[in-house]
Amino acid sequence: MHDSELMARWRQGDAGGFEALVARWQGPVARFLGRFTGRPEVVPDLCQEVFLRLYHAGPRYREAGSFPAWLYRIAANVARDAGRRTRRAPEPLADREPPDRAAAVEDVCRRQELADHLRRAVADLPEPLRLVLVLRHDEGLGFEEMARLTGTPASTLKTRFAAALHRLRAVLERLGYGPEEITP
Amino acid sequence: MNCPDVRACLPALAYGDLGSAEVLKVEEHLAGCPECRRQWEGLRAVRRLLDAAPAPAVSVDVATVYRRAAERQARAARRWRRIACAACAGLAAVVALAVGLRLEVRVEAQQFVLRWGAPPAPPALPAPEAPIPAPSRAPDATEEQLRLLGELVQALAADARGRDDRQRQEIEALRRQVEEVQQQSEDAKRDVTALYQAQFPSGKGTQP
Repeated sequence: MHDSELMARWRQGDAGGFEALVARWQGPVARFLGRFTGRPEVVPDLCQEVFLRLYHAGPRYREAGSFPAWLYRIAANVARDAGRRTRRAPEPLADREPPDRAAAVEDVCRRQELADHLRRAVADLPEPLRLVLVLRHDEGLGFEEMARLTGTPASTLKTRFAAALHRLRAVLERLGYGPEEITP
Repeated sequence: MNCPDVRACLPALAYGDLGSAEVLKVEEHLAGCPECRRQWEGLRAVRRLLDAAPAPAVSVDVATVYRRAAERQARAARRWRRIACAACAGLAAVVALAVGLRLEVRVEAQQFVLRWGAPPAPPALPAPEAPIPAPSRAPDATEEQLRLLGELVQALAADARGRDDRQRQEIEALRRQVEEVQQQSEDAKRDVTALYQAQFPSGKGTQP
């Protein structure tokens, strides 16, 4: 059943419509929040808050709009509000010591370390770049749909997306991870 | 395509956002440019890392959503009740103040009138036509005023009589003077006639 049909059921008083939407979208929302905030430990609470706001905002949903774009807008606002409440000083990756290439590093630890570096690099991106990267990579939204969600022209979003990817590449190279070493 | 143009297209190429004609041009450039090829490999690696990042496992507790929504609605209802009570209390205070001060608020043409205190005396209405009531005993204060008025009228009347008497006396005096003058004139006339007759016994002279 399409999202708009589930919304219609819910607005007619069928709680099953709301619960079906929660079951369908809690994973993507959690993935979005995890990438957008860079803090996996706060994702469960933020996810709960997203669907609480969705519950209150349900009567204001316009059927002509895109449900995913509307939902991600709520999630982005929740993440921003959480970021305002708890300001985290970003760790400048440039100050971190590059891993000791000579030392023998277990494969699992290396991959975990690489994942942590990437997570922090994404979290340190400026919010406009981070938002378009997460929506394009994790949620697969097209630039036109993102333009409707953010109110920003699609051409600007494309530029931001390219800038975000190049920044991540440059950060990882500065940390000593060349393309041949970046194997998940 | 030159290097800056190709590097600008690499993110779109990594995510399949380029058209087939552009893809061919970019791949042709990459085949002959090591630096652009290195950047392209770096972007592909970033995408692989992003794909491999685990998504946090979350299970939203719907019952908690319903409970928190009900709590939020109850808080909002209590807030609105407090606001309504405060508004009613304020309105009651304003009404009590207006009544206590006998406040009058009126909007007229080109002016806003705000008045408090005792209202002005209403304009006197014309007395309705009614039969003359029977005279009744006036209160003491009215009797005193009437007595004073009576005395004043009498005084004025006496003054008028006095003036009238004086004028009659003056007129009488003038009348007597006129009579005396007339008498003197008669006497003088008789004397002149006697003298004439004495002078002209035959009556041949001019009569005076």
